[in-house]
Amino acid sequence: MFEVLPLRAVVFQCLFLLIAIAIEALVFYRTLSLDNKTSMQYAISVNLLSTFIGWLCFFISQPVLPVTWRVQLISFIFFEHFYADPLMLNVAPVLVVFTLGMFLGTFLIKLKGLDFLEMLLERNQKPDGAIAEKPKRRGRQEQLVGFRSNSRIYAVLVANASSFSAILLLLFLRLVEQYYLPQ
Amino acid sequence: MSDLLNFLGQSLKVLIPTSLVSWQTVLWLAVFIFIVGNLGLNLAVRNVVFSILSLDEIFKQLRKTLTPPKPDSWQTLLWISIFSWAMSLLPESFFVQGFIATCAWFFLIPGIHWFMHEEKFEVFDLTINIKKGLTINGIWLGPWLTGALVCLLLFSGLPEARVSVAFVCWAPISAMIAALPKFIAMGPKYKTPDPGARQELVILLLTNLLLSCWLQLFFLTQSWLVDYPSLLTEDLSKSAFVVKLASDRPTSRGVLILDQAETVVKEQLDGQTWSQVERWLFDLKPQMQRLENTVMSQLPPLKENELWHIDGRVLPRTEYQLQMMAVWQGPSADGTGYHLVKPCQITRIPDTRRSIARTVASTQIARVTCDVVTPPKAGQPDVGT
Repeated sequence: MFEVLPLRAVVFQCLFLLIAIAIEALVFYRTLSLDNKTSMQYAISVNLLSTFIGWLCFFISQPVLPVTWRVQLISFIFFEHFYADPLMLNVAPVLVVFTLGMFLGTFLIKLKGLDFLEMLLERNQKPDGAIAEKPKRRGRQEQLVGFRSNSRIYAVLVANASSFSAILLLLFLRLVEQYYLPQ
Repeated sequence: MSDLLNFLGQSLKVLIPTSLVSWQTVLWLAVFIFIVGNLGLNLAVRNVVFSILSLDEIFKQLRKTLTPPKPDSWQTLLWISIFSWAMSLLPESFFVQGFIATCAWFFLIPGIHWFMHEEKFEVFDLTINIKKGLTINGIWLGPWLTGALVCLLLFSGLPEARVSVAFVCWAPISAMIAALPKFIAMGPKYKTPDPGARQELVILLLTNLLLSCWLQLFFLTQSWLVDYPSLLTEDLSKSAFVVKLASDRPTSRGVLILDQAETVVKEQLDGQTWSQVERWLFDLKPQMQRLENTVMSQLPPLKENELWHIDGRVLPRTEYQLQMMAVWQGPSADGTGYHLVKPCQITRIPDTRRSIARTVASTQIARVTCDVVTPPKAGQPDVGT
């Protein structure tokens, strides 16, 4: 029963999570001017939430996939590539659309997650006092109304893009190592 | 007496190892090593050796440990649980018995949870700090043990196929048990946790949900391997998701399919007249299709049967060498599939059943002999048009 374990998926996911949390904590620290501990905790919560919702979507969509797609998914998980189906299923555009959707999806989840987290922690009263002093520090180009939400959208976007870039870089390095080094 | 054994059997059967390599053996091995290591490395071994010589000392110690020092302690709960369980043996009706046995569990689980908070557990003149023993890196593991017991209680009635629900629910239930102290104010009353503690609760809950997702992934890959057993015969070392722990590779199901096909072909062709056989071989493609349908209906129904196809060709310039091929068109390590070949010979032999006195032209019948299946060859076979 234990011949095949999904340990590699768990290890890779832990690695990606740690890197994403570190990068996003740094971005939150710089752009939202929170202290170290709070930005780290926000990054952890938001990344865990998006990972969990991603797994949930996977587990919900997996039984309703058509059979050919599911066999391609199985081939991807066990053998790391898609196989030439006699029915000529075209997987490359699907993959591109899926990656793009994943980026936008995680961005939205992180944004809403951060809002919900701040509401849960009852910290959303603070910026009312901070707005009065912020324009003096940040310059005059920011509007008073919607200042907080613009800054947060920017912060989450930059954080998401940075962590995705880091993960893509790691995957690219792994690809290079797999295909070029054995020769 | 039989219902006593029945109850014990029901609650303990989960812990019996189902096979040599299962989580139960790992658990029991860990418990055994823990006990032996504790006894070996602890100075308690001297005390135990001495007091074995006087057995009443042991019983006195045990009684001292198990008597409740004050009315609200874990020993009281333990004794109430044992009392309820003993009471559950009395009624005749199955439902009342089950109900009282469940009450016994309801007292046992808080009792064990309370026991794990114990910081001064005195037994055999030895004080064990249970709470510290269960703390790794600052995280107290008690709620996870209690959660395992709760899952055992809730899900022990499920059939074998649905045991994954118990494992997947274990982590969130343990998280809720670990979060419970924050929801109780003095008195005891319900309170919403104060904002300072909420961040920790969020991270605790999300980490455990992620853990249950990983367990669900494990069960999902297991169900895929049950549906498509041919995946186990492949080389899984390049996968980014799974790792293969067993080093042996089982024989491919193609062998089973071809052996079954050989049986069906022998049924159809052995002993038939030569002209019938030639007609059969002339019409090879539809015959192979029909053969495939027959063989697949005779094998146990698995989802991967749709990805196996049976094909055949007759080698040219031979008086019928039939090669039957089982072609795998599903996922494989190199992406092109593979096929296995079973070579068969169809030869003419004179008919020995008819008497020699008949004046009709001697007919010849066919005899089919097949060799073993060759090892899998990569790629799809060429059968011509």
